Amino acid sequence: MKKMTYSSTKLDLLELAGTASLLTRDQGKSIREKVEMLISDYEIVVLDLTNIEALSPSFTDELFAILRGNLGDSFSIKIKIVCPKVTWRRLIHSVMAHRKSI
Amino acid sequence: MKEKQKQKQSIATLADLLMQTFQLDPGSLELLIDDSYEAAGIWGPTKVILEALSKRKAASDVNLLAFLARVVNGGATRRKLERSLKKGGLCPVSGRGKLRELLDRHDSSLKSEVVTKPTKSPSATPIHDILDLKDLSGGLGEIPKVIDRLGRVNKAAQTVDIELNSFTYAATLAIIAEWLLANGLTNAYNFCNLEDDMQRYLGRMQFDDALRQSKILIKPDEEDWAIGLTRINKDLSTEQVSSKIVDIISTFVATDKNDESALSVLISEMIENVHRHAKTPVDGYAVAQLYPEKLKLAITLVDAGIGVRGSFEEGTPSVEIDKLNDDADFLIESTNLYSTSKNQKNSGHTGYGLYILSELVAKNRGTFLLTSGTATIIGYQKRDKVTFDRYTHSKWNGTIISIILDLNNSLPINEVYAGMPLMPGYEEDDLFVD
Repeated sequence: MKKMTYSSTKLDLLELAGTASLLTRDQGKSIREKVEMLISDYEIVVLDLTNIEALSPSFTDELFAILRGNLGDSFSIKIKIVCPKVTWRRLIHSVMAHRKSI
Repeated sequence: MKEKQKQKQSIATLADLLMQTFQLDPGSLELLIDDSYEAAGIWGPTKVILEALSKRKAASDVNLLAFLARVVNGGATRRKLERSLKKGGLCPVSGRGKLRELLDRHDSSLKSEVVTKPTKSPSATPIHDILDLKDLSGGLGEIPKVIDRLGRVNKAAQTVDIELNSFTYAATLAIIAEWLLANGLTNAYNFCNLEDDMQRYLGRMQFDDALRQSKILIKPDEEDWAIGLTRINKDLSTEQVSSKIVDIISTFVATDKNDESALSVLISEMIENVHRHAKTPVDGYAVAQLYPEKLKLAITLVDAGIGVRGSFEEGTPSVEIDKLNDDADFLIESTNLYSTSKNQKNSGHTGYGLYILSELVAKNRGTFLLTSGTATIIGYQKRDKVTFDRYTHSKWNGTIISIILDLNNSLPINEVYAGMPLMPGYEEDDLFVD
């Protein structure tokens, strides 16, 4: 039987983490594992940083960059990010670019 | 060093068993052990300990506990331990079954461990030395001196007298605590000739508690606007420590949300450095102190892990480490983005911590100190560039990170993020949606 997939889901990272400060690798790993469990159920998973107050490079690496490595080419199709802060977009880009290069 | 660690692990395991079997809290156990030390000297001969403990009027279980911990600390075999206990009449009939059960569990938990014998004859007088820090003037600049003085203490010392003056910096207390912990001297130090205000300060900074309890809660001290010595280990989450420090700052200083966020990131990256990079077998220490008149905040983290050079040598760094001449070169290189992390695809170690720290503190017009091995660097902003002063000293096995932030200035973390590089040709514009 073919598994039913929904078009998209938006995950509020504040709700998912239980805090507005996304700081540690443990937090990043925990959220990444939750996202990876959901990924097959949806065509697109949107990660929403709107309500987040602090974002660290280590968390960013553990969630976004490692998720990108795990998903490969499907990452850019399946994962979207809502990130109102321009400098955080730069951080995410930079961290992902670095991990992609190694 | 490995033997010492095994010995410490052995003591920790035994302490857990003792607490569990006799339903003692850590404080009571420590008091008992202290009493036996005080009575007989830390490496005193078994006979003296037996005599001292026999004179006590406390319950035999109490004597047994103190003695047991003492003997294991000294490297006793089970046979010797049982013989000594029997000879000393310290183990009543009712306690023997309990003791045997305890020893069985202790033995099985230490299967592969070699319990080391003391290097000196137990009949010798305990080797004693003095750590003289009376002439320190406070501030980051005293740290290289402190490490030098620690390096001069007799490595075989079994008891240490510590002399401090009233200017002693909070970071120095964290360093002394880590040194005592790493060298198995947590019950073998004594502060001498302290002035009353320093005595009170040590109490407020929880010096003794932090050394003797492996799990402590962070207690912000409102009188001193400080967070006392706080052990950093896997049981205490990074978020817990960083949020407490941010909370106390925001209680006393009007901070905006951006600065609070930046402070959270800064502290968490410092602590993650201890958790992830230090690979330390011994807990680390954090301490934070607010200086309200100067509007400065000092935060220090100390560990006894593999150190900065060890991190480079363990990984495949992006720089040729053969070209780094000394420990100071390694320290300066570690503040560059990704310097320690090339080819560590499966590792959580990507070299952000010290980069973020140096950039953010410099932009705040603050000062940061990094110590590892035989070098210390103190970095600060000078004409829009981060400048480093170098110091050499005795070897510190581990890493010390200490920062002083200027709370008159913002913590512009967004500027740091905006300056982070992208790989050439890397674009993923479709990633972000509104």
